Amino acid sequence: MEHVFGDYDFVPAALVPEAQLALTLSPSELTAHWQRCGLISDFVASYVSTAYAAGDRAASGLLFTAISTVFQELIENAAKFSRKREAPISVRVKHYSRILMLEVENGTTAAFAARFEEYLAGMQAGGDLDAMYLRILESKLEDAAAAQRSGIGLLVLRKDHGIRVGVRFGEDEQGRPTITVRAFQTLEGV
Amino acid sequence: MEVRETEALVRFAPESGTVFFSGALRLANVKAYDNVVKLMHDAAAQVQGPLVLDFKELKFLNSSGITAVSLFVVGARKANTPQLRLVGARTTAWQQKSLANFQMLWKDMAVVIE
Repeated sequence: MEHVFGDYDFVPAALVPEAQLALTLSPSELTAHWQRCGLISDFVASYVSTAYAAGDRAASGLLFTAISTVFQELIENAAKFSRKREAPISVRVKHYSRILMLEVENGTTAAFAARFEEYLAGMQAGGDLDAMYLRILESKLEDAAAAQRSGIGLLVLRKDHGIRVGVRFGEDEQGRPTITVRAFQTLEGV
Repeated sequence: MEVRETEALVRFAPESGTVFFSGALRLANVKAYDNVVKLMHDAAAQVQGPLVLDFKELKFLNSSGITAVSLFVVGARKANTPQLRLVGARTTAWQQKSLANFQMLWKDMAVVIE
């Protein structure tokens, strides 16, 4: 059943963006050539930050690296946790002046959707994100399998980059689970 | 002593006791960082004083990389050696925003943002 978490509807759907783009990718093309994740992230960051080319922020590279860093975590998660290789990944980017919405949707398994929902609930309820961050990292010392997974991507985006994160758990036409992650990045003050 | 990845170079300079990171480290998972982690361990075994990790020229480090470096930092804290000094640049987003996280793992460690 469809439901949302966090700031999924932070920007009203009726608001018209200044710029937008959409891409469809397949997880297999990303996992087969992992550096494509970075290429897409840098492309999205360039596309948006070029609007600030006359300003100091773009010149310093700070805005570019900020956007690319955030998008990278989203696209990596979609590539790793998609249900099947042929299930497409949909990317939508909307630039609303001071706010950037990065959206990545992918098909996944019911097991991963349940695990991800539990992770999000912990992030919502945890309150102290620094404590959660430390708890996850320290736990990896005692658990070799856990050490191979990061598990801190979205947490770092929220905690360090001030990103508003929203997630929609839905279904595709065949009733298989889908996950849509939206990250809202404030471009002022980056 | 160096490790080359597709988009990055990690190099140990024994004369200054510094591991220099440059490029973009966005590897697929934590295990993919094994060579980088091994270089840091080998460097730690060679230095007499503090080991400097200089990230100033590293534009990107993904969460798998942050995890790999974090585990190295926690290992050094538990062994109480070597002393670590992390250096970053405020013009790169991940360093400006996340480098201080490493200090949460080991309060005695120095983190400098230039």
